[in-house]
Amino acid sequence: MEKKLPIMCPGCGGSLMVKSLYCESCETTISGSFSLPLFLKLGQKEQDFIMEFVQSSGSLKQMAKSLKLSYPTVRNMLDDLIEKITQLKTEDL
Amino acid sequence: MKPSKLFNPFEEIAGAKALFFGFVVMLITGLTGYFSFTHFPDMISIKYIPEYLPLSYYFVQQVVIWLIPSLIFYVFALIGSSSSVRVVDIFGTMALARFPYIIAAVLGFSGSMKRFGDYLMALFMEHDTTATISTFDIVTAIVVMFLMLLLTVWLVALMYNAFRISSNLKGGKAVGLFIAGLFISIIATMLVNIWLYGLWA
Repeated sequence: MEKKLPIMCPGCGGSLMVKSLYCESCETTISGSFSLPLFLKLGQKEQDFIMEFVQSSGSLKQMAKSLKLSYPTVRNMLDDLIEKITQLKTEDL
Repeated sequence: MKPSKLFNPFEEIAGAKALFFGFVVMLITGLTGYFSFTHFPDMISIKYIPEYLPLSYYFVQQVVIWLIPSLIFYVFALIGSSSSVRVVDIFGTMALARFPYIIAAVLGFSGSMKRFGDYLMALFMEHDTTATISTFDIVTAIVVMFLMLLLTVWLVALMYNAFRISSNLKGGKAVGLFIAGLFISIIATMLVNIWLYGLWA
């Protein structure tokens, strides 16, 4: 089973930071305080949407066809995603 | 088919495809209405008028009750939405949203509505106390009226979803603009239809 990367604190709902990174081959552990990349702060569905968007060469029409959704539905999903990214960027500042 | 698709098929169908099916819906509704004497005097009303009018009148009426609301909702979408709104989405989904009224046109074939109307006219307008009607006609007319009410609710829900999806509006803004658009559309289509009826009748 693929583990989901938690991005929100289950206790208080706040944003999580990366405290340590581990190398499996040499077993080195790096400790510190790193913020998550913006892409990882998005939900799984939103990440999948971006991947699909890139794979469709940014064509919403092609995406709508492959997802079996109407063009305005896909465009609305993109607009909502743009809004969320803008919001996350503002929060990071 | 999922029940949600009956009220919101626009997540999957919009644009030119919806416009094509919408035109088919309007053709069927107009043709059925011609034979069943079912009129649509404004965007949401259904009326039974047993009077001969040419087929072209029924088709033009269908175009009027689709074109005017589509135009009004398109302007409202441009005003309220920050997304890019495509004309074909608004006009297409608004056309397809009219599919419940095919059933309304079919319900017009029920003679009970006419007999119930004639009975009420005789009783209350002409004070004819000898007027009679069968229990079957009363029950059928009430059932048909109730079904027509449900069809109107269905149509309005479809139109709201058509507007919401095509314009990417949400919450109070979507509801507010839709209610305003609906109100203006009803008045505008009613006035144009009165004028049209005068031309043909």
